[in-house]
Amino acid sequence: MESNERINSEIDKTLRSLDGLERASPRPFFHTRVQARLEGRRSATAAKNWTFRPAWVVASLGLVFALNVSAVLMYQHQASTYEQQQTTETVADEWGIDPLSLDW
Amino acid sequence: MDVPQLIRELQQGNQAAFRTLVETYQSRVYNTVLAIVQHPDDAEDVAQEVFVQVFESIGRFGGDQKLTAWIYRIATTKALEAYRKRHARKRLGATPFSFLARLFGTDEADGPDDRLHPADFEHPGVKLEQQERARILFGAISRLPEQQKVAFTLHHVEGLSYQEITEVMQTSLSSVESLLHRAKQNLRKRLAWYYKDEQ
Repeated sequence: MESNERINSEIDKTLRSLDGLERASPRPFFHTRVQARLEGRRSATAAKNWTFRPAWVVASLGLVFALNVSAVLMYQHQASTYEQQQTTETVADEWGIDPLSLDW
Repeated sequence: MDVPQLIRELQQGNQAAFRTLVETYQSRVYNTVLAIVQHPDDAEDVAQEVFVQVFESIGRFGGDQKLTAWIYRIATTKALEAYRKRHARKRLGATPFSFLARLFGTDEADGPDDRLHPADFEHPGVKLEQQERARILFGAISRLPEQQKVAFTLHHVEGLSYQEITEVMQTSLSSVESLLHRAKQNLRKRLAWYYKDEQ
């Protein structure tokens, strides 16, 4: 019983411990640090906007397209060269000619 | 400079007006955020973010809102987000089974867990003779549900009236009264655990 009273008294005192509390303030030059953060945010946004400008998007897509087309063309060229070589070897085999001997 | 004029100038991007705003509200914002996140470095970071958001969204501010209530709302929202993030990091890092403990609800609300809520925060504005008790109280406040924590902080740390809290939390007077009543009940319960353990 006495113990409960003591606990309740402690609780009441603890709940009143914030009475008369003074506001905490940030460190000096807080505004300067906020300003610096805003500047950082602005330049990051500007860089992002520059990257996503339509002209850059179109140019980047064009470059990707050109690279793809050139890759397909190169593959086709290599495939036809290989096919031609295979045909030459087949004909040489059929006629019993050593392809190396024709290479003069 | 009166408030409507300050708002107009802020909306025009006036840097001097922004400086006035920061200097007028920095202590209120920092003090509120500090009481919620209970960590000076995090409080500084969150307070800066609050003013960045104020600057970026002042163009959309208007209607019947009060500037002070709006700033307090941004501050409490951001402070709770930061607290949640920090709390989640601690939770994840606490034990390999903490995720399971969270899933099955064995961790929160019913018992004190000093690993996740260390009662080591000392508010710099507390009177010297009250520091030990305030440290224990802040430990208990950190365990309150979010809405109760906000209402209690705004009333007891920032000294806002019930009416002002309704404007910040965009709720009715009876809801604020109920939140503060439940916050006190929860704090009494937790403090009772603490003082019983101490015996």
